[in-house]
Amino acid sequence: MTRSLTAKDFATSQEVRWCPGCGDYAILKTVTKTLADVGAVPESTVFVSGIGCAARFPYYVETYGFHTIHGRAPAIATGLKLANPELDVWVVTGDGDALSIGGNHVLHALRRNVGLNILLFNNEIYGLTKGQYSPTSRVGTKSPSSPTGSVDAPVSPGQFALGSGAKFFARAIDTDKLGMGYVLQQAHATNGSCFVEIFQNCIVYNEDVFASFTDRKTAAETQLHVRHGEPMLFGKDRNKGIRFNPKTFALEIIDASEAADDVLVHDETNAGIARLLVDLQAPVVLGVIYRDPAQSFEDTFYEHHPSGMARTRSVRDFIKGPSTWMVEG
Amino acid sequence: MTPGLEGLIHRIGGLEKDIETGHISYDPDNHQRMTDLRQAKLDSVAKYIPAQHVDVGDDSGPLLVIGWGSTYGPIYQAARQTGVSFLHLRYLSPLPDNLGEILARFDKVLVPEMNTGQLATVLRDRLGAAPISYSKVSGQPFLIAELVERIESELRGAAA
Repeated sequence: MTRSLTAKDFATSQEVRWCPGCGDYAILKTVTKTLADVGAVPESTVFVSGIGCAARFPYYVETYGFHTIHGRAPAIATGLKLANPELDVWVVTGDGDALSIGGNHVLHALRRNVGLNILLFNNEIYGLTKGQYSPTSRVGTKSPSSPTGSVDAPVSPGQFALGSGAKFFARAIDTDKLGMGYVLQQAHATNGSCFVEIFQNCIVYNEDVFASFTDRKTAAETQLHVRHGEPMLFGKDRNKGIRFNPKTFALEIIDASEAADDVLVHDETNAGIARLLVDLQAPVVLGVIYRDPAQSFEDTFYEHHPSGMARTRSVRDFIKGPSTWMVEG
Repeated sequence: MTPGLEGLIHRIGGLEKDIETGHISYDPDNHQRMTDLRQAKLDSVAKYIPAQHVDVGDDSGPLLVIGWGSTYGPIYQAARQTGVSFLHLRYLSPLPDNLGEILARFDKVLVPEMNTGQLATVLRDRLGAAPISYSKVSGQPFLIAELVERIESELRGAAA
């Protein structure tokens, strides 16, 4: 029996508490809509988070949820996925939680290719603790913990994910329902670890830090939405393209109307180009930047496990099954 | 309730919950009640752990040596050699319910520890006891001989 659910069915009765205008509201809306769109089964879906503003997310999604230890959501999610690979496990994390406190956990989840959808809400600041600079804050970020401007070079979530061996890396903007919806659907449909960076506007402590490319008025010129098999074109008239220069080993922007054949066609499986796309600043690349699926950790694990995952019935069917019995002796 | 079961969906986490419904709660009075409730749960663990017994020697006397963790061996031997009582703590939080009564039956309590006196502090705090702290942080374990010497010195002090 399939139930047809809507985004509303994935909302909980809890009062959502983020600052008014926080980008998290938009993300929550798109995530719940995506869950409905992909036909997610609420009881087979789990949201796991660590600590931070983003980490409140599980309370607001009508699925199973764990609000856990700072930075350790990937570890707990890995255990969940191994215990029951049939579960659809999502990890919600922030730039501090994922890349400072939980840096090593994210690294190991990605290199193992555990079947998790990891959503990184990147706002380049520690919002919950009132605005200290984070591992993704740009050099010179003025904050309570860096009053004269931060001196640490920021980490690139994309380079971190790809360097850790992620088989899926995608990007979206908090308020871009279509772009994020597409990326989340792709993550949901892809095996193994899917790492999604969402540019999230922290209206209180880091307002408009992404405005240079998220502003809708100039988006056509500042965003490049890539799709597998399609040429990398952008601009108001889609007249600009991306070309790979083999001499400098770099990407460059060209006039697509003059050299259409030179424009790169997006190949999600090309790890080398993916690394260049991640670093592109103008335009900023959005969409599924890299995807080259490999066998997931849970599948490999059970191949080596004595049981061989030779379950005759699913855990859920087993527990919910009609027959019960007693062992007497 | 394991994720995957229909009809039992719920979320767990560190935000304060309403004492009745389990929903997220920001109510100050509720937080007071929940904090008291959690402390009561922790305290009640004392009812489920074994009563403390004296490991070596009499149940009362001039000197009780209290140890915990890795110091069991040398304290055990030193207590046997000197004839004093030795009690090895296996539960530190909460402490066994009857520990205070045992301590009260001895004239002196000596607490050898491989730190700067943490258990002695806990005993003072939780039981209002007045233990003598014997601290060693050289990185080397207690020698039986040095424990014997200290015990004998405390016994002489008791006699004096």
